[in-house]
Amino acid sequence: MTTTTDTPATDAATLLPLSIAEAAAALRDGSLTSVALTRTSLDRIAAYDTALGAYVTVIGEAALEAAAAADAMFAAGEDLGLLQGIPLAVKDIIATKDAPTTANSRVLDPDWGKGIDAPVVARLRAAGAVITGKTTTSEFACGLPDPTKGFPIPCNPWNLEHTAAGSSSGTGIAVAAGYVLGGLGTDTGGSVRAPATVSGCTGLKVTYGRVPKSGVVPLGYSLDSVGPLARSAADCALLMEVMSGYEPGDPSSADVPVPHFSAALDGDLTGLKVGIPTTYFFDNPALDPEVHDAVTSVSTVLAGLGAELVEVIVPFPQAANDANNLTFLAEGYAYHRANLRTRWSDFGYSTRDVLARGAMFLGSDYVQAQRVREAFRTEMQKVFSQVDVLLTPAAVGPAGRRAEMDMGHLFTGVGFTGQWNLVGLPAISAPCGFSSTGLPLAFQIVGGAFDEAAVLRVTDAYQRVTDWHRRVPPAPAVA
Amino acid sequence: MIDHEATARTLLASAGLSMSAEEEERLVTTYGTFRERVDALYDIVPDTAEPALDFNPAKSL
Repeated sequence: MTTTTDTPATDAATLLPLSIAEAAAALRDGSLTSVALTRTSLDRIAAYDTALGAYVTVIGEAALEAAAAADAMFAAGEDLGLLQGIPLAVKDIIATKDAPTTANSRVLDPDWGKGIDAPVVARLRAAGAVITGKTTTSEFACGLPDPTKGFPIPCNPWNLEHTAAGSSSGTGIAVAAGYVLGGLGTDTGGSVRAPATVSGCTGLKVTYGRVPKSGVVPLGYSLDSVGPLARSAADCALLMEVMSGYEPGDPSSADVPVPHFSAALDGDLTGLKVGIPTTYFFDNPALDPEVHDAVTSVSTVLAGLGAELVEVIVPFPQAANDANNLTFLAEGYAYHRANLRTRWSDFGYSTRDVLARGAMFLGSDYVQAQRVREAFRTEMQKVFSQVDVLLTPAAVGPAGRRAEMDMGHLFTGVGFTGQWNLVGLPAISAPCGFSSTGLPLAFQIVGGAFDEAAVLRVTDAYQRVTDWHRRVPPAPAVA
Repeated sequence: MIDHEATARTLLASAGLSMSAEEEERLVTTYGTFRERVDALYDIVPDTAEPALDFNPAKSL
């Protein structure tokens, strides 16, 4: 880990379980300054990150300068919005002008993205947010960590022997462990949602095109999206209001209106239809019974808040997940082919194992995956003509042990997240309980295209009457 | 009957990657299962189905 601050701690306040909205209120009533908040953030990183492995680079001096600037603006009566003065983390495949981008890889050109902010980062800075540094990612957003390559190994904050998942591992840890109040991840097949699921925070995979992804190292060109991770759906909504919107020059960016996401969060689900796809998602033999029960209990809570539960069928969900895997393998291999041929050993053992699979399929296979994609998109439009959102488990089980991780399962097992990347739909993962072994469990809410507002509304309503999202990892990991 | 292992070895050989024998063996032995998943994609949609080659949800709203 590279640390560029030696600023001592001066504030004993904890970031846990502070929300962005609560911190924003404290910054405005004078009970907290951004400098104090940011120092606490940097202190926590310094104290715990050797064990947790969330950060590749901490930019302490730059963060404190940004925090001081935010405080000066508050003092001058200038208010850029609720992110002003809030410390955030950025996944290390997203370009930032004041920190290198490594993609956790020895292969990426060290000058990649040098001196520039990705548009999504620029938007956060323009809103007064404080960027604290770059967080660990699976190398190039795929594969498992390789301890021989010199990058931090991300560990689950609830149990260090378990995985923090990927690929946005570091941001998930940083939020769950209270280093920061939010951050950025990217999602190609579940890479925002899986880290949120296993670390016990809330992560939103946005509609493809909702948030600009230029300035991000690609994995699957037609699948990648940049999304927020935070403690709650309400905090994700605040981040989304700054992150979203058309970006000229970004070919994947969608020129569609951006709603006031927070305005829809009123806790009332009366009249809202929640689809329950029992087949595959709830009756799957691979599903851990504890996850089944926890997510089923979510449906009961949602019904109690006024939602109507509607049984629905999601057609060919396994094939759609497989088509997503094939698509990202083919697109990822195209991007990495030259380096795989010449610098094979510089890639991590697991990354090269995953990416090489992209060489094992034919052009016709890729086209067939796109035919399945179009068919699945059409089928999902029918489903979302019946219901507003879907409720599913976010994963088949709690975080596995790091020593037992095997990416091969990704391509032969059951998946609940990749289907939605295939057709670009928004989906959120949020905590709904713990396993008997003390690891977080999570549900997933999926919405129609560009309907993040509904996804956030349902999740926020659930979080208003439950406190799973407020739970924090125990000692000794981060206490 | 298709020999998946032979197919996998041929595809990897044509890719020109400098992998170890152990790495190749792992990819070869796991290829068949995912290949079956890929083959199943050809049974999901009718012959008349069109592909999504210019994917953007905004364009289909």
